[in-house]
Amino acid sequence: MKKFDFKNVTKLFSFDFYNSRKNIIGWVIAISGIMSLYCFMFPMVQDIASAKFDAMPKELLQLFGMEAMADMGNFVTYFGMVYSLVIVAICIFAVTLGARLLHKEEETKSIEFLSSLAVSRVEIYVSKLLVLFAGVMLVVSCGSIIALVAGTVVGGDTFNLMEVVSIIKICSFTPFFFGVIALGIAGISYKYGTGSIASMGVLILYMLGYLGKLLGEKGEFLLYLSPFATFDPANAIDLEVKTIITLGAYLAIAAAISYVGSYIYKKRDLKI
Amino acid sequence: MDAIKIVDFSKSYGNVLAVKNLNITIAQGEIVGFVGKNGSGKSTTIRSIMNMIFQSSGTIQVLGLDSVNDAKELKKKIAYVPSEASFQNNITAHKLLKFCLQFTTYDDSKIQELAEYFELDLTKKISDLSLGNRKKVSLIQALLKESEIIILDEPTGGLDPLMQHKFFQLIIKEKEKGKTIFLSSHNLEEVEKYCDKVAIIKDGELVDYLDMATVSLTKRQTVSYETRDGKKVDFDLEKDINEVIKELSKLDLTYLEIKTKAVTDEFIHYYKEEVK
Repeated sequence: MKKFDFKNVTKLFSFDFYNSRKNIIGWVIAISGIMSLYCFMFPMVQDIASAKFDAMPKELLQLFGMEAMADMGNFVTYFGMVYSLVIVAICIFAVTLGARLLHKEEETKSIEFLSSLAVSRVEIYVSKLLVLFAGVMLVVSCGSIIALVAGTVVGGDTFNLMEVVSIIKICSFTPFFFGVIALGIAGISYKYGTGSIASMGVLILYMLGYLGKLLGEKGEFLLYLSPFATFDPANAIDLEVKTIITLGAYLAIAAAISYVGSYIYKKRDLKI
Repeated sequence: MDAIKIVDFSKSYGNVLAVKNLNITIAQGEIVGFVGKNGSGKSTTIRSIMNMIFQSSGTIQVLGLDSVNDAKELKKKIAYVPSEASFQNNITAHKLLKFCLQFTTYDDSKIQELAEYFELDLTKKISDLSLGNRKKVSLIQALLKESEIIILDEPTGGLDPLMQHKFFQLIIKEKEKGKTIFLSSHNLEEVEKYCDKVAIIKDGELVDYLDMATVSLTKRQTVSYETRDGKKVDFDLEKDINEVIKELSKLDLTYLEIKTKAVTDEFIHYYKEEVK
C-alpha cells in the first residue's frame, strides 16, 4: 500500500470542502458584497474621499495603508486602498479556516472517525491544505473579479488592468501565507493551533507593518516582518527586486512551516 | 498468525502512567472483551492500536503489521467504533456513509440495508441526530468496512436494549465469517454473553485474562435464605443440591433464592476495594 496516495487526498478534499462550504460561501458573499459596494461606488466617492483624506492625519492614513493613495480620482489607487483593507479581513478568514480545519476535528473528536479510515495523517493534512487553498482562492477570486468588472464599468480612463491585476496577485499572497502558517501551527500543536490565536497573530503583524511605516528608516526592519507592508499595493505596482526576494523568503517560510506541521502532525498524539 | 499482539505496551501522559506493561494476544476469530472501569486504560490501548496515539514503550501488532510503521495498511484491516460517535456535523448521515464507501468495496445498497436494520433515517444531518442515532451511524460505518478485525469501544452506549440485541446479532454473524472482535465495554452482562475471552484491566495493568469456557465450567451457585425469626444466610453451594434442599426444608423460611453466580461477580471481584 502506498504511503501517500493522491486519490485518498482528493476523496478527503471533497469531503472536507463540502463540510466547510457554509463558512467559505459566507465569506465569498461578504467579501463580494464589500468589494461591490466600494468598487461600484467609485465615481460617487472619489471627490468626497479626496477631500476627506486631505483632512485626515498622515498617521491615520498609514494605519490603513492609504498614505500612498493620495489620488482618489484614480481607480487603481482607490482599489489599492480598498483591497489593502479587505485583504486583512481575508487573512482573518484564512487563518480561522486553516486553524479550524485541523483544530476543530480534534476538539469535536471527529478526527477519531477520519483517522480510522485507511488514510495516513499526511494525506489528511494535505487534503486540509488543499481545502484552505481552494477556500481562500474562491474568496480572493470573487472579490477580484468584482473589482475588475467594476473597474471596466466605472473606472473610465483611470482603470489600468495590468496594475489592478498586479495588486491582486501580490497582495493576495498574504492570506495564503497566513492560512498555511495557521494550518501548520494547528498541525504542530492542538493547544496553540486555534483560530483566535491565529487572528491575533494577523493583527499583530498588521500593526507591526504600521509601526514600521510610522518609524520611517528607524523601523524599516519591521516592514519585512509584516507581509501587509511588504506586499502592499504600492510595492505590488512597482514590483522591485527587493519585493520579489521577500516574496521568495515568505514562500520558503510557508513551505518550511507546512512541512514541519505535517511532520509533527504525523508523529504526535491526536488530542481525543 | 495472531490477530492482535500487544507486547509490553506502556503509555504515559507526562508523569501519569496510563497503561503499564500490557501484554495481550488475541487469536483470529475470537471475540475478546476488554473490561475495566473508567480511566483504567481501555481507550488508550485501543487508540494506540489505531495509531491515534503513540505508545511510550512496547509494540502492537495487528495481523503481523506494526501499529506505527504500517498504520495505514493496518487501518484497512480494522473496522473501528469509537466510544464517542463524533462526526463532521454539517452533512447528512447518507453522505457521510457514502464517503466511507469510497474506502471500501461495498455498494450503496449495503448502506440502505444496514440503515433499515438499525432503523436510522439517513436523510437527517449528523447535527440533528440523537446520541443513539449517531451511535448507529458509527456502527454502520464500521460494518460497511470489509475488515478482518472489528474493534468496538463501548459500542452499545446510547442504544436501546432492542438495538443492542440487534447489534450483537450482527456481531455474531461477523464472527461466524471468521472476523476477530475486540470489545471494550462496561456492560459486563454483554461481555459474559458474547465473548470467548475477557481481559480485565485495572489502573493500566492487566489483572486477569479469563477464558470464558473455563469460567463457565466453574460457575458456582449461591444460596440465600431468611427465616421467620429474621436470620439471613448466604453461602456458596458446595454440597449436593438435594441434600441442601432437605436441610432447608427443616427450617421455617420466609425467603429462599438459589442463583447461579454470574461471571460478572468475578469481574466485580477485581474492583472490590473500590466497591468497599
